[in-house]
Amino acid sequence: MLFNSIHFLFFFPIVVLAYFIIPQKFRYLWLLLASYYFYMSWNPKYMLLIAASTVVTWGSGLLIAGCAGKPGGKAFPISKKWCMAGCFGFNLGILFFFKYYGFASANVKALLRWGGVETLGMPVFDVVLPVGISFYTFQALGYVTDVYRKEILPEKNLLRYALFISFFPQLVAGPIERSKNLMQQMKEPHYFDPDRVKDGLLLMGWGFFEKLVIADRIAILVTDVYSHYTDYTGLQIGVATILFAFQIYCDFSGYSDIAIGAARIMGFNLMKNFKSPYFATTVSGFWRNWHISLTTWFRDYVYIPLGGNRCGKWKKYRNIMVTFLVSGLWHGASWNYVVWGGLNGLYQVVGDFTMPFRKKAAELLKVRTGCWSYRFFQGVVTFALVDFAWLFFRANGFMAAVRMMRHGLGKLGVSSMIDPQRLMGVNTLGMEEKDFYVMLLGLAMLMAVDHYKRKVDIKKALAKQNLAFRWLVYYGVIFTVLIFGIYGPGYDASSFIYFQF
Amino acid sequence: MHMKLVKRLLSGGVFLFILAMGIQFLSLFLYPMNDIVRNWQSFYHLDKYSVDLLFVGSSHAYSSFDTAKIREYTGKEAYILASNSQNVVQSYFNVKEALKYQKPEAIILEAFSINNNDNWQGGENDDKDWKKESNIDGMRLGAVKVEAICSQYRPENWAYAFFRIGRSHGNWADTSQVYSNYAFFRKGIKGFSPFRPSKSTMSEETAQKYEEAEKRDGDIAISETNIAYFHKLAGLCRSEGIEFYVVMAPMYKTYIDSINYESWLNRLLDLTKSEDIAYLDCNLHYDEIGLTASDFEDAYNGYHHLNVSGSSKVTDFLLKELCLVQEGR
Repeated sequence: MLFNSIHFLFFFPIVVLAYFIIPQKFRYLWLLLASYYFYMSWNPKYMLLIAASTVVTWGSGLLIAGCAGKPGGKAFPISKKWCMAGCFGFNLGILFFFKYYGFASANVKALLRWGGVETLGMPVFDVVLPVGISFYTFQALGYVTDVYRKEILPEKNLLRYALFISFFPQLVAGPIERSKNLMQQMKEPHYFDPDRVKDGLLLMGWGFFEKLVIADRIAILVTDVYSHYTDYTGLQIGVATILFAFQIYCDFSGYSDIAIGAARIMGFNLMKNFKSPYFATTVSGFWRNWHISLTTWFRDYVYIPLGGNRCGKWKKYRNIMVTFLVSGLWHGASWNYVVWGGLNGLYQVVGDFTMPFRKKAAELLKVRTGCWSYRFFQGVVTFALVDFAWLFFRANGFMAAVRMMRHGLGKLGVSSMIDPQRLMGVNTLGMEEKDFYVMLLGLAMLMAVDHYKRKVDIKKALAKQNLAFRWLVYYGVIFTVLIFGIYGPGYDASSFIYFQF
Repeated sequence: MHMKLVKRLLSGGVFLFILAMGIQFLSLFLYPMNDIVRNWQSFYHLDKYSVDLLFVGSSHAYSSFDTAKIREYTGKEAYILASNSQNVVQSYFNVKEALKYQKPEAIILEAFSINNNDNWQGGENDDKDWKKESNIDGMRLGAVKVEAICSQYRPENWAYAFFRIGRSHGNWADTSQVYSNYAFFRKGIKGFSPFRPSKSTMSEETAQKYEEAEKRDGDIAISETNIAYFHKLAGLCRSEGIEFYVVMAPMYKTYIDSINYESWLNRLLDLTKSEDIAYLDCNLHYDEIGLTASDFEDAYNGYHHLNVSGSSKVTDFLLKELCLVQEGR
């Protein structure tokens, strides 16, 4: 069930209404039921996977805590580490089978062929990637690690824990919640609060604006250019790649806002996933503000356990590269994702390594690094680097990305830059002219809101305004989505990009 | 505390009311208005209980039965609540909705609708058919409209059928659509007649095409859904004490000769006999009516709509046959 589907339009109000009618102590059961229904609407069979992952991680949590033993009591005979390893092995094994087996076997075969070894018949499994598997697996493993580190106590109620893993607003594409944050909230009573409902609805409305008005509109253009790149010049491919940066941002940030808004209506506070990432002036700054729940997950459960940045310069660089390569692989079982992750890691390694030289050069050249024009320049460079990596992310495989670049460089199409008619002939990129201008307006609005968000809390600022203005904003969002959204007949409710991960 | 809650609830209600009005206003401009919607507007504009004779069915109903002539000869008010490709399922719901506002003495179902495309849920046609949509869109919101949607659409398309803004919001880029809707509202129902015969006359070229058409002798079937709704419609008329007739509008003779019309006729006769309903088939009275090729529209598409001249002849025949003229009912 997609957030932008008619199904959800009926599902969500029913769930919320019943949630506030049901007595407090049974509410989590209702939410659990709704969450499993939500998940099973994709494929009922995959309910078994999430259920298995839930039971194993819940049991492991109890075992790990039991291994430590109670004060004055006896510890379990097996070690914590074995419990942890078993739990990780099981969950990562499922993830590997569904997500990486095909990729791994293809690469092993290719490697053996390259080495002149006759490949053995490796079994081929025709499996569809269960939606959201990477998200809930990481959330569950985060919980087990937190129990192992004694940062939280294990949850004894299996059904409440099952809700923590399957909570429908964030089940299929995050934010990947921490047990410390969400688990506690599942035990707290939630009351109907009109202000919170209003905030949640506004956030959902903004999420739908990002997804339906901007992301899905840009998708028309990007899909056309990336599918038929040989028909386009390098400049046009460049424009499409720049727009893809905004498409993926609006798509994923839109999803996160809908998820956070939906949870907020029911009284849950999910973590922020994006904080105006394209205003970052460094690549590491970008990553601090992009997909925050995953970035911090990797920081806490991969980067820091590897030694983080307290183990010498070169090991720090190794840790950064390992973290980003794994992050790339997390996004998809394909080399283009690995390259994308690697590039982002490399940017940071190079950035960190050259920092002293750059500082020195700036001093020598008397460059004012505090002024807005310099920060703007840094922002543009950061965006260009991040966007170049997006090309690998969006392309249909690593070789497709290379071919696209080769084609683009060979047929740059600079002449179109000085030919206003061709430059303005945007409908040649598969999009109608009017749609193009709506997209530009939408992007301008997005950037304005992102910029404003960095300085003030929009929610609070809006609450201070007169009723007429507030309603004008609410109606503005609703009618913009209703009129300019990409939905209805002729369009299939397009999936969110991150659902495939 | 109590006052605060009441104030909030009121405020929420006002917000939703303005939102609903806004959506309604928006769809008035973006939804492509057409004659089917206008026909409903015109119907709702009639004085209550002023219609004596109600026609339902496909385009043959509105191209064959001249309401002005009926009024002239009988003094009875007739209204045609037919629409393009309307099938008997839609006819049933149209009658049900119409009976909320009118109590006609008789209802005439144009027989094409019994055989017409089975655009009911799970039928042969795609669920998203503009003719079906327009017919439902024209209805006022109420229990009949809800029932009509739930009966004629698959559940996954119910929301699609209810919210016309979802279907037409993409028209924002089409200024001509907005202008045409504006013109539609400015014009209103002034001068609208539910009787809309074809304006052309069959040309020799078109007649030639019919002559050369391949002969088809396969059986003509009526779907189970249509049969079921025919019985429902007959039952509805019976329970309301309304006389119910089935009339087959004429088709072009050359076309009838090229198909197995007998199988069609037999099925319709069986069906009407099972409900003890009078069935009048204009195709069996060609000479009596005095129809010629010049009474049909100039279109080789199997629709066989009558033009003004043809409809005049058929209306005369209908009035005679149904004894409306003589008995002055």
